[in-house]
Amino acid sequence: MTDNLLTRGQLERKLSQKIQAFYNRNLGHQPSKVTSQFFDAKLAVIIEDSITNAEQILVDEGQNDLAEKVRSNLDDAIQPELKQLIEEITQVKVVDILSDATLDTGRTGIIVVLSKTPKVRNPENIPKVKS
Amino acid sequence: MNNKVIRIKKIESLLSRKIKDVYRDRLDHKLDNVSYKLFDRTLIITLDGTITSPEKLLKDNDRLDLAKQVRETIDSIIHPRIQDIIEEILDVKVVDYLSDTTIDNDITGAIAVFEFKPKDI
Repeated sequence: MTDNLLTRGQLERKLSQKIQAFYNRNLGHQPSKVTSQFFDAKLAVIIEDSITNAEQILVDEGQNDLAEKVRSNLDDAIQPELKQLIEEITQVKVVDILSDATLDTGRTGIIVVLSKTPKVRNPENIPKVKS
Repeated sequence: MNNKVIRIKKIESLLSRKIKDVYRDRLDHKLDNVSYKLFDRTLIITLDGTITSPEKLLKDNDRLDLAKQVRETIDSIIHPRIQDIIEEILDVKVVDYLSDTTIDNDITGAIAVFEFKPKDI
């Protein structure tokens, strides 16, 4: 029944809200903004203000290498649960998660490779990638 | 096709060619595929087949940690060049460039965030 399906925009907004809450729950820090965009069988997530206060203190004290190591380890630690969350919401298997963060801007970017395009009410609105 | 579509197609083709050239010139390595999607002031790029033969050999011989170190260094050299190519071709300033590679799946993903939306695209 397509009537029960969310639209692409609704699914993207739901993902953004859940990911924002997920970061808050796991890292004790609420990102200021999370945007999600489907394209083909991939999902791009951009998290603004994703760096915790503890990491910010390290950066402010000139301990950039340590802060980057902490961030990389935090990303690795939360990834299995993040994968599960995305699979639950999209009802599609996650094949791969690519993630990177910039301490200077506080921005995290995630590209999620899905096994297939998620089912939405308006699938024609999910852009196809160009290659 | 209108002018905008033609311009986008030209940009996409140029981006693909130049990014593939970087891998070929610096690593003597041929990428399988380059794909991208532009959203407002964000460009998302996925590169398939980025892992070189030596890295694969390391991985296949239980030296995944070393392969990851090699990849980190390779990406630190290649990615600033890709960032330059994006700025040059799209005539934008990249304020953030986020990228990651997974050796197992042989895929690199990058998100370039621009200061402003590119003109005429």
